[in-house]
Amino acid sequence: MEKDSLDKIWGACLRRSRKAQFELYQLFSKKMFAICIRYTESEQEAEDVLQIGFLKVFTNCHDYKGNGSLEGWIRRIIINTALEFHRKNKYTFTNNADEHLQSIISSQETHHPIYYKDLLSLVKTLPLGYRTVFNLAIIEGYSHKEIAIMLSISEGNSKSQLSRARLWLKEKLISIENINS
Amino acid sequence: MKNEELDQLFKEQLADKEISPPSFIWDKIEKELAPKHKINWIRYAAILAIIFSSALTIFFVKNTKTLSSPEKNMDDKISNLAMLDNKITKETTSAEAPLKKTEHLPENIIKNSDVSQDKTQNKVSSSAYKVKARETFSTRQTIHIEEPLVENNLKELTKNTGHQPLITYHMVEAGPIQSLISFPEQEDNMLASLATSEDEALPPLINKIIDKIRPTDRETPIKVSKDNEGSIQIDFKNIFAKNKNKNKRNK
Repeated sequence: MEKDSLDKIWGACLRRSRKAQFELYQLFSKKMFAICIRYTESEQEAEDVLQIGFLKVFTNCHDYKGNGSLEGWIRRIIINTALEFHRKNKYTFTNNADEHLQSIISSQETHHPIYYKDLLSLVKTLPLGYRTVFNLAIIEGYSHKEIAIMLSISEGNSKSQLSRARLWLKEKLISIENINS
Repeated sequence: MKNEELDQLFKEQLADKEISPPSFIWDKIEKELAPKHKINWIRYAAILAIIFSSALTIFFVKNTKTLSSPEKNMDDKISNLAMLDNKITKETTSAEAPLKKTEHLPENIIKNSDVSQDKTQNKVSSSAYKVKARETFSTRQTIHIEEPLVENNLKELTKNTGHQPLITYHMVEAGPIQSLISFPEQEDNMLASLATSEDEALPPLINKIIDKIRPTDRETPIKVSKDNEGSIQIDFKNIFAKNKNKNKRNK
C-alpha cells in the first residue's frame, strides 16, 4: 500500500467520509479479522470484535496522532477490543482443549505439513491466559512491559505465562508428530 | 525444539495472515456509524409538526365554516342594499321632482338616515345606511324581503312618469336566535360524535404520511386512530424500546 493514498484515505476518514471509511475497512479488515480469530473463542466472537474494533477506529479517529504506523494503531485497537471481550465475558481458563487437539490430530493423518490452520488451532487450544500472552508477545511482538500494562498484570506474570505457553505448545507439537510418525 | 524455533514457526505462520471477514460486518458498521438518533428525532419532530398543523387547519376550517357563513350572508345583503340605495339616489337626483315617498323602514333607520337636500327628496346616505344596517344585523336578525324586479320597475316608472318611484321595503324582525343546547359544554361532545366522511378519512391519511416518512421502523409503529368520542389519538408503542433492548444486549 502506497503511503500517499493511505494518507488520503485516512484524511477523508477524519472528515467522516463513508467511502473512505469503507476503503480503509477493505484495506485492513482481512488482516484484522485474522488477528480477531487468534484472540477469540469462536468465529462469532471474532466478528463482533472486528465490528466493534472498526467502529472504535472510525469514531476515535482523531486520537491517532501519527505516532507509529496507522496499521499498528488499528491493530492495537482491535487487540484491546478483544481483551475487553475477555474481561467482560470473564472467561474461565478451562476449555475444551482436548477436543481441539483431537481434530488437529485427525487432520494430521493425511501427513500434510503443519501450516497456518493447524498452528492456529493449536494456539486456540491454549488456555486463555497463556494464549493471550503468547499472541501478544510472540506473534504481535509486544514487550512484556507493554503486555503487563495491557492486561493489568505484572511483568513477571507475563513472562511466566509465556514460558508455560511455550511448554504447552511444544508438548502438543511433539505428541502430534509422534502420532504422525 | 528451542524456544526461538517455536516462536519463529508460529510467527511465520500466524502473523500477517489475511482472512476475509463476512460481508455483513461492514453493513453492521455502516449502520452503527449513521447518525441514527439525530435522524430519528428529526423524524419524530416532523411527524408531530405535521399532525399538529393538520389538526389546527381542520379546526380552523371547521370553525370558520360554521361561524362566518351567516355573517357573510349578512354582508352580501348589506352590499346589495347599498347598491340598490345608490341607484335610487341617482334616479331621484336626475328626476328632480317633488315626490311622495313612503317608506316602511324601521324607525331607527329612518332617524339615522342622512337627509341631504330636501325633505321631499329623501336621500339616504349609503354609508350611514350601511353602518346602521350592520348594527341592526348584529343586534337582531333582520330579514329583508325585497320586491322582485325592483330595478326594472324603477326604470320603467322613471321613464314613463318622470316621477320618483315608490319603493317599499318589507322588513320582518326576529328575536335573537336561541341556542338549542342549554349546556354549551355538552355541545362539543355532540358535535364530536357527528363523524362526517371527511373525518373518517383523516386517520388513514395521516398513517400513510407517517409510513412514508419512516418506512423502515416497522417494529416501532406510530399509528393514528379514532376513539369512540371522535377524537384522534396517536399510538406510538415501543418508540423508545429499541434503545432499551440495545442496552440490555450490551450488558
